Amino acid sequence: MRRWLALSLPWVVWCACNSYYYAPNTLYTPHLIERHDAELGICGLRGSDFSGFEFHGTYAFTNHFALMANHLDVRGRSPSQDRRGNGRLSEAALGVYFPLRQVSNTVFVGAGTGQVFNEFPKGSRATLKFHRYFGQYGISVEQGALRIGTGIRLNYLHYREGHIDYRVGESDVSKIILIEENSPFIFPEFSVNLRIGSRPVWANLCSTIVEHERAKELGWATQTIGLGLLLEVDHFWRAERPKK
Amino acid sequence: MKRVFHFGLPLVTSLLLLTACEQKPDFEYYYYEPEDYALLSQYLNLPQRPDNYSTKLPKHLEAQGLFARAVDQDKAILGRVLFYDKNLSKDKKVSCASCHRQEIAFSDDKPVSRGVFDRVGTRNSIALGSVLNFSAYYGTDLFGPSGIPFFWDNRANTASEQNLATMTNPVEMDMKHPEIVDAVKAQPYYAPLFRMAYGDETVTIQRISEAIANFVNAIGSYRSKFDREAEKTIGTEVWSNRERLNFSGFTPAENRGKQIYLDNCASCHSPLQGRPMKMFANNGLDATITDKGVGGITNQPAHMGMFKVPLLRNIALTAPYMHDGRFATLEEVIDHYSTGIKPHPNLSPELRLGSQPRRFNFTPQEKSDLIAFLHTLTDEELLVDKRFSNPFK
Repeated sequence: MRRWLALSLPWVVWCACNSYYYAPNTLYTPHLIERHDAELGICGLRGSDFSGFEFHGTYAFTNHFALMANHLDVRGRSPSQDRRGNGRLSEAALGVYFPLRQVSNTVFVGAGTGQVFNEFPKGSRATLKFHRYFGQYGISVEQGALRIGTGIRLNYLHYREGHIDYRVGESDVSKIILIEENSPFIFPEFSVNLRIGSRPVWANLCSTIVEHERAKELGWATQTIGLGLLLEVDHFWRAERPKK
Repeated sequence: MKRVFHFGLPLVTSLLLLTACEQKPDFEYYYYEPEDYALLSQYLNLPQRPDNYSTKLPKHLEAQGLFARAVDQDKAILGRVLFYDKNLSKDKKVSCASCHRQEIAFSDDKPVSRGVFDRVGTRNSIALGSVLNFSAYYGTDLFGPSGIPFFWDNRANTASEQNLATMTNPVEMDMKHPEIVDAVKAQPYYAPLFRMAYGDETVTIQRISEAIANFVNAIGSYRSKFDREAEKTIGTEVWSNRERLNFSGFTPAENRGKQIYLDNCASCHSPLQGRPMKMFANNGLDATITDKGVGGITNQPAHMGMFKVPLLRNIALTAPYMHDGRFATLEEVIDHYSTGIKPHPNLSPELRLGSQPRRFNFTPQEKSDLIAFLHTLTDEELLVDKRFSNPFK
């Protein structure tokens, strides 16, 4: 219950001076109904101490199969300006979709690569690179001008490489050592998203949370919220979606 | 649906295979640049992973409001090298560590210290290991007027002032400020250490003293048998007088000695060896003073013949005792308080009965018990703590 409450609440917490070694991208649940459906989304993203943007794209290349691509780019800076960081994640996935009237069920499996970079006073830095494999299930329901989606993503997160200046401080070195000792991590993420609009443009609000008991110890951001636009680009080569 | 399985199953299988092929994390930790570390390694034994100089005091001391302040790690690392570097003395044979030897709790075993060219000083080297932690209450830079000053006569307000005064003292290291700077510049291993500590290689006397101060401020003793036992009392009894409980890990003699200490000594030296109860005092060593002590700095008659009141941590290791090293053993010290206190106008009130010196008249058993207790103040870990050891090869 608490999980769903967290997902539905606006993001109001603002912490100070944290450095992160993982932040979840939006768990994107496309609304795919038929072949050639294509969505492109851009989203402004915010988490505790960082913000950024992400792109999503899906294309249904057959009546049941679709491709998905995501890219995340976040940045953060401490209020005193002496610490900053950024993170990137790019991934691609192949999936299947099962439309049922106005309900779209999607399952994707994919892989991606990313990196987090944190810079501390005196120019000390910590850079971690990782691979992420995932499988996700999403469901999206359309009712008039409203689309509501929810999803679960199971991640296999493997930190493959790190360059760490010991001067980043004991606290961060401890987190990184914990990451090194425990990688890979398998954990779920949950999301809800709310879309308002009409074809081909939708306003999109989404929230994703990480479910891992040691997330704080590992220096992971446990929640992100995004606000953006979603464009059904197939609209431009297909004037009207045939009714099923 | 069949196609879903035809495509989906191989895809999931490939992903699983991919995850199985992942190598172990390849994390590289570094502090020094490789070429810097190669240079440093020619002269110094410094770990690739920098030492952590932060200190967490035991609970029984934190309960008294005592906390170790943060020191700058990079400056403390530089300070450690400077502390042990004999190039900072006129004859290149004396370093700070010459009179503050780690194996005897950063004290000296001579009554009064010997400096450059074997010049004889006037006072006994204070044991740095007698202090709980310098950053917990020493220095007016950290604590304002309540910060304890340095030296037996409290003439230096900060650790920086203290180390500069030592380096320039003619009977200690006998250097002028520009000579110290030149001596540091001449050593190739300092360039990377200054870069790590300050971001550039500029050597100044302020930086040198600050770095040593950071190192000294990290030194302290808080892991003795007494501390381990005292920490156990937290949460077991009323807040006050916890130390009066018999410690379960103490021998009967140690517990009896603790009671004698608390009844007779703690009002100056602190019940829990936290912070001395007095900044300075006259303990009746001489009826006619030959060393003015604090009075020589303040020129106040009421301060004549008064000296810093130290904590007694590691006291069993830091003979000889008193500001002039006149007592060679703990037995001699206890004999002094037992029957030897001399009258003096500035004699500490705790050591007098009316106008006469107090006679504690300890029995042989009491003396033996008190010494047994004083041995529980030895912090064996400090003596071998690599963070504070000589880094030179």
